[in-house]
Amino acid sequence: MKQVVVVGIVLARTNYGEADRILTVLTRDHGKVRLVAKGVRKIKSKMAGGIELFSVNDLTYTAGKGDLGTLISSRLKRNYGNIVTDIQRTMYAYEVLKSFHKITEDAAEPEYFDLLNLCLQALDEAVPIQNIEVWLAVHLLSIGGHTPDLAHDTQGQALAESKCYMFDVEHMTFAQKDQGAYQSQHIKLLRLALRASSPQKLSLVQVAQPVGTSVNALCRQMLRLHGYHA
Amino acid sequence: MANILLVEPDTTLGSVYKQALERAGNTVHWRKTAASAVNALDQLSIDVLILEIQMAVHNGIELLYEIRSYTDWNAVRVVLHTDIRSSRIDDRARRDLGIEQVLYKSDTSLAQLCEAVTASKVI
Amino acid sequence: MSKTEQKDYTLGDHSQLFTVLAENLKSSFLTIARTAELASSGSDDVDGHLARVQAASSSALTMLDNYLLSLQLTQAGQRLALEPVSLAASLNDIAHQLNRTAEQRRCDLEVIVAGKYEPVMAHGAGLSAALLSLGHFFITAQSQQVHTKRPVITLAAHRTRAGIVAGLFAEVQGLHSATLRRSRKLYGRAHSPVAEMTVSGETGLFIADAILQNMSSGLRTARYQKLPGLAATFTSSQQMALV
Repeated sequence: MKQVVVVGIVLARTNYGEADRILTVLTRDHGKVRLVAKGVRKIKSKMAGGIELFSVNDLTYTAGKGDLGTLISSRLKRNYGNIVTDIQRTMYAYEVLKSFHKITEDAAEPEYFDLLNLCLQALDEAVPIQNIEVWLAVHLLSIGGHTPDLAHDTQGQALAESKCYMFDVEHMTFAQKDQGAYQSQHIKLLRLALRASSPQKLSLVQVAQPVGTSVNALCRQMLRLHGYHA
Repeated sequence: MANILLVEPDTTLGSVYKQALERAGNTVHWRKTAASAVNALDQLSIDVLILEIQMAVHNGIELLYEIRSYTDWNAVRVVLHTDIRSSRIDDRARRDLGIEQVLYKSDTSLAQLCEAVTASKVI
Repeated sequence: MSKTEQKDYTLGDHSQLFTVLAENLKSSFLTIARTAELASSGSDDVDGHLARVQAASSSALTMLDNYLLSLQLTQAGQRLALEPVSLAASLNDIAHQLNRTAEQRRCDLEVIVAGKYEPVMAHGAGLSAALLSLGHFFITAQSQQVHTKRPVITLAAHRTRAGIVAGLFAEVQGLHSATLRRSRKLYGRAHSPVAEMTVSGETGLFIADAILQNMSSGLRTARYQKLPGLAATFTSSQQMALV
């Protein structure tokens, strides 16, 4: 039987029968795959490495009938072990895995793997969660073709430094409004997040807490509308 | 009374909680790490898991996600008894992990801990 | 370990060390409160409970004392007054002070000073505080892990080409250079910066780290007879050892 070698990040694990586990793995080049890991429930250390969460693994499997392959071997390539030193980061990391599991239900381009990997790396390096959330949101939207318009308002006018806006989530554009919730610093943060190649780069910029919080709330709204939230 | 798995890394505190819960009529199995807790669940029939989420190597949140990924352990009731304030436990995580109560250690007496076990048996 | 990987404990970090200290002290007070509650509820083992309360109180007091000393000794620009100090005597004294805590936490201590050594240049009180703090860290770490047999913490000194290495060694899970590097990075930024080993008691590690930087090569991972540990390298005093 043909063996497939992939680089993957485990998104979820469930039990399967008496001794086996099913791993759902997001791979770079083969999309999302489901693999049976035989006999792992019986091993002494059930939280042993090799197929741990929050890590990148080299996995070898054989394709089976249907969509379930059989895991032959795994080797830990990179472990993001710092994540679990902090409870908040642990909880957020699980949320991220769950989100990617949902987002990649139908298809999983290589960009999703790269995005998830960068996200876990940022969590591992203790980048503030708020920064990771904004960065991840805009890049997820971008991959899905739902990038918000950060240059023009609903009237086609260039977004202005001195004006206030509300956000038209349906059209993914800012609309001018007196006393609107969003101003230039919110828009700048979104632009920076979109331009930043990683959450770490975004963290080089100091962001006032209230701005970060409201931008995050906006991003969650955008993601919900486009079906991204788990 | 309940068959309890107490997961508490601190030696002295673990001993105190175990004694208090046993005096309240429960059977208590005490483990200090996530890995040994998973092994205990595999070997014993547990009604209630009393869990400190701050542990070395693998924390309690990891343990809970691991436990809830096994369908045969989904009925285990979970009470967090932790150093972390409940406001810092995500609501979504609470729902997903079936956490019945979050008890903040500094504010929870031994009597209250024992009551929480009884309360968690009520459907 | 290179100098660049050592943490620079400046005055600004004292608030972070205080946060770590506060978390660890909370643990001591919780132990006292709940043990007292159990003792007062008609338990048979009153003597045992009192002993636990005493141990927790002593541990907390020692932590506070060592923290205050570390503040004094790590003030920016301060040059420590170094003097000849006998490592053998220091290690034995520390083992004696840690004995009760080790008993409580169900581990043993042993002191190994291989050979006769001249005194080393160190700040006497600072060295004691550092080793005592490190001892508490090791004892707490091992107590939160699972062992197949009763664990032993070794306080040892031995000569190397670089100087005389002294520190603590034990079969404690998670003790690698990466752990030390990571914990220095996460110091003040994670609730449990040394979560590979322990989720409380880290104050001892950071206090020892801060103090030893000012009088020796600084704290680093080391091995003694295949045992992993944390140690510092000291310079011999020119003074002749009295036989």
